[in-house]
Amino acid sequence: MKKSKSYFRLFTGLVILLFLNQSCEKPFDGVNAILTNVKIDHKVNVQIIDANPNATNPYPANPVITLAGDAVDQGLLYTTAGELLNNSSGSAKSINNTVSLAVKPFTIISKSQPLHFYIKAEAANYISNTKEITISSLDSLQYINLSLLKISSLHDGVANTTTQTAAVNGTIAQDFVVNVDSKITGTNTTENVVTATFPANTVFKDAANNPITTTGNFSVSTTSFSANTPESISSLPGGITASTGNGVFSTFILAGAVDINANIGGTDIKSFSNPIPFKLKLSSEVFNPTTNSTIKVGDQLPVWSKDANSVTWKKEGVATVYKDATTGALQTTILVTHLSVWMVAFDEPNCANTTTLNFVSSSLIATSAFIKINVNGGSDQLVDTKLISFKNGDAIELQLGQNLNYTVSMYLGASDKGTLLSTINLAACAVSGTLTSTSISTNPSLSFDLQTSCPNGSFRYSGAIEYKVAGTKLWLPFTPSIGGKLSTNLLAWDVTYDFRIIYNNVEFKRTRKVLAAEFRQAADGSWQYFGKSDTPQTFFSSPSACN
Amino acid sequence: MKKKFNVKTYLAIACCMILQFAGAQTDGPPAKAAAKETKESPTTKEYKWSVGPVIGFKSIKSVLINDIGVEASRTIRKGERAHLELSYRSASSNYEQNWGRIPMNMKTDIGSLLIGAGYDWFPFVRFGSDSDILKSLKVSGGAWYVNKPNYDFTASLRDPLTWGQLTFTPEQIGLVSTAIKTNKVQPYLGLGYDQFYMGKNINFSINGGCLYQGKPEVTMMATNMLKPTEESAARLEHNLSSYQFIPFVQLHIQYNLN
Repeated sequence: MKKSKSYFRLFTGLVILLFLNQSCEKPFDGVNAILTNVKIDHKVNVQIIDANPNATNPYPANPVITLAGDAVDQGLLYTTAGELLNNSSGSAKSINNTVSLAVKPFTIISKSQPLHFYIKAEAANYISNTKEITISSLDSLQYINLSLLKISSLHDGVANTTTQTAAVNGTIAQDFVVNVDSKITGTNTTENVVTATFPANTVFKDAANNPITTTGNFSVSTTSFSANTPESISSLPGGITASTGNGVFSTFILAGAVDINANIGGTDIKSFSNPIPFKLKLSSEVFNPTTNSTIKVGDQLPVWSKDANSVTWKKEGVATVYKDATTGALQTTILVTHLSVWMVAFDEPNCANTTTLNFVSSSLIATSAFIKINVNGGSDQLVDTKLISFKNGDAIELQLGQNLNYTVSMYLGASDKGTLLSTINLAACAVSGTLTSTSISTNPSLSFDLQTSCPNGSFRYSGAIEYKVAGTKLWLPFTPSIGGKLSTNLLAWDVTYDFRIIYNNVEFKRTRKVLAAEFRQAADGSWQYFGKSDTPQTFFSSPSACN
Repeated sequence: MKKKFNVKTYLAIACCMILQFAGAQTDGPPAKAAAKETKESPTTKEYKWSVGPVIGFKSIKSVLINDIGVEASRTIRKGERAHLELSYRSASSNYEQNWGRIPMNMKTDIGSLLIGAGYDWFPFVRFGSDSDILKSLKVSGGAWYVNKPNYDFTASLRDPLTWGQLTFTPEQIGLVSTAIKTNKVQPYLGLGYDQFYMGKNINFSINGGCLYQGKPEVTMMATNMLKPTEESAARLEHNLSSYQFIPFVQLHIQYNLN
C-alpha cells in the first residue's frame, strides 16, 4: 500500500510536470521586433549638380562639402550613419554627389525658431556655391540641388575674367584695369558688366595684413553675378537668403555681385592699401522695395561683403545708382577694401512669423513637385526653390523677407519645366497660403513594402530615395519611404528605372523594370508587387541596418 | 528556454514535495493507523463543508500565471461536491523574451479577479470502494468568470540601440503594447486527487486539467522606432490559436467542517 502511494505521488508529480511542460508551445515563434529609422524626423538630401542643365555630365567630380551655421555649431547635424558633423572642410562626405544629412533624433524644432545651416560645395573647375538651408518643424525631408557653375561654360548672367600683370615688390607700377564682359541673354554679343581699376603703387596685403613681397605676377580672377537670370541669382555665393549677423536672416533683392580672388606669385591677397573701385552694371528691372518700383538714378543700394569662409553678409555702406554717360545704362560703383564676395542688394529681414504653405491634392498618394518662390515686382526675382513630395493635407513652412509680396508656383516633377500645377500670391508676411493640385497622374498607383531581413530582425527604411529612367543621368527625388512603405505614381508601365538610396554612407542601387504582369491590383485600385510568386514581394530590398 | 525549464521544474518538484507532505499527514505510523482504524471502524467521519486556500498555476511559455484565493465546498450527496472559488490572478511583472533574435523586456499586467464555480465527482466513493487512493480520485468540472481576461504586456528592447555616435535609450526606441484577449467565462475539466473522504479535518488536494479560454485575440500598438512591429500581431495571434485550451494545476488545503 505504501509502495503504491509512493508510485502514485511520483506519477502525480510527473503528470504535473507534463501539464506544465505542455505549455511549451512557442507563441513568439516568427514574431519579430521590426525597427525603422523613422525617428530621424528631419532629413536633408543635397545633390551637387552642374548648374548647366545641358551639361554632358550633370555631376561635378569629387565635390568637397563644408557645413556651417547654427545647426552645425549646436551639434545637431549628423550623417544618416549617425556621425556628428562639424564645420571642417570635408566633414560631410559626398557619396556620388549626394550628401544625406539628418537632424539629431528627438530634436524639437519650434515653429518660431527653425534650424539654419549652410552647405558649401567646391569642385575643381567650378565656382563654389553656398546655400542656406532652413529646417522648420514641418520639414521632414528636403531635397536640395546645389548647383555649381562650370567656369568654362558659365550661364547667362554669370561671367568670369582672369587676368594678370607684372608686379614688383608686391605692387604694380601702373594702373591695372580689369574688365568683365558677359554675354547678353539671347544674343551672341557681350557687354561690359564689371570694371575694376587697381591704381598704380597699390600695396597688396595677405591675410595677416602684411604687405606681400613675393616675386611674381599680380593675378586677379573676377566673377560677376548679374540680377538678370535665375541661374545667376541661384549661383550667388552665400545664397540669396542668408544671415546678416546677430541672428538676423534676410532675403536679398540682388542688383549685382562680384567674387574677387587675387594673388601675387601664388600668395593670396586679402586686402589693399587703398580701396579699389569696382563699377557694376545694373539691370533696370531690379526691384527697389523701398520705393516699391524698379531702381532709378539716385537710389541708394546697400553694399555687402562676405568672406569665403563666412556665412554672414557684412554691411559695408551704400552705393548710389547713376547712369553711364556713354551707354546710358544704370551703374553703381563700390569701393572694395578686401577680397571677398561683394554685392549690392536690398535686404529684407525675415518676417517674425513663418508662412505655412498648405497642399491640397486630388491625388490619393504623394506627388513630387517643384516649388518656386519669386518676389513680385521688377524682374520678379527668384528667392527660393524647393523639391518636395507631398500628399493632400501636408504643409511646409517658409521664412520670407518682410515688405515683399511673393508669387509661389508649383510644378509637377523636379523642375519648372514640368506642368504648372498651381500659382498663388502671398502678401508680405502672410501667415499661410494654399497650393492646390488637381493633377491626376496617368501612371499606375503602385504600393511598395520594402523590408530587409536581418539575422536579428527586420529593418524598414525611412528616408529619401532617388530614381531616374535607366540610361539618363540626373537622379530625381522619388517618393520617400516611411517605415518601408510608399505609394507612388511616378513610375510608368514597361519602363526600366534605376533607384538608389544613400544610407550609412553607402550607395545602394537597384535597377527594375515596372512590368504590369508582376503587379496585382488591390480593391482600392493600387497595385502591389508580387513578382513571379503568389505572395507579395519587396520590389527591392532596402538598405539593411543589420549591424 | 533554460529559465522556463528551471521555473517549471522547481514547481513540479515543489508539487511532489507537497504531495509527499500531504501523504505524511494522512499516513502516520502503521500501528497508529491500525489502532485508529480499529477505534473508528467501521465508518470514518463525514464532513459536509470545506473551506480553505487554493493556489492555481497555468503557463504560456515563460509566463507563469498564478491564482491565489479561497474556496468553499459543500457535499451535495455522497461522492458529489460543489465548490465556489474567489481568487486573484496575477503573474510576475517582468520577463525577458526574444522576439526574433532581439531580447525584449516584457512588463506584464496580468491581474484579475476570478470567481469560479465547479462540481467534483468522486466516482469510486459512490461505488463504495474501500481503497483510499480510489476514493480520493475525482473528476472536476466548472467554469471561471475572469473579470479582466486580457494578458497585457509592454515590450521594449532590453539593450540600447546604437546609431553611429548616438545611442538611443529603450524609451526612445519605443514600446510595443500587446493585449491578448481571452474569454471572460472559461470552463474547465480536470482530474484530481482529493482526500476529503479520508475523514480528516484537514486535507490537501490537487487537481489538474484543461481550461478553455477561447481563441486569443491579439492587438499591438507600437511607438517610435518599433512602430512596424505592430504587424507582428497577426503572427502572434496565429501562434496563440493553439492556446485555446491550456492546462492548469490547483493545490488546495481544505479545512473540513460538519
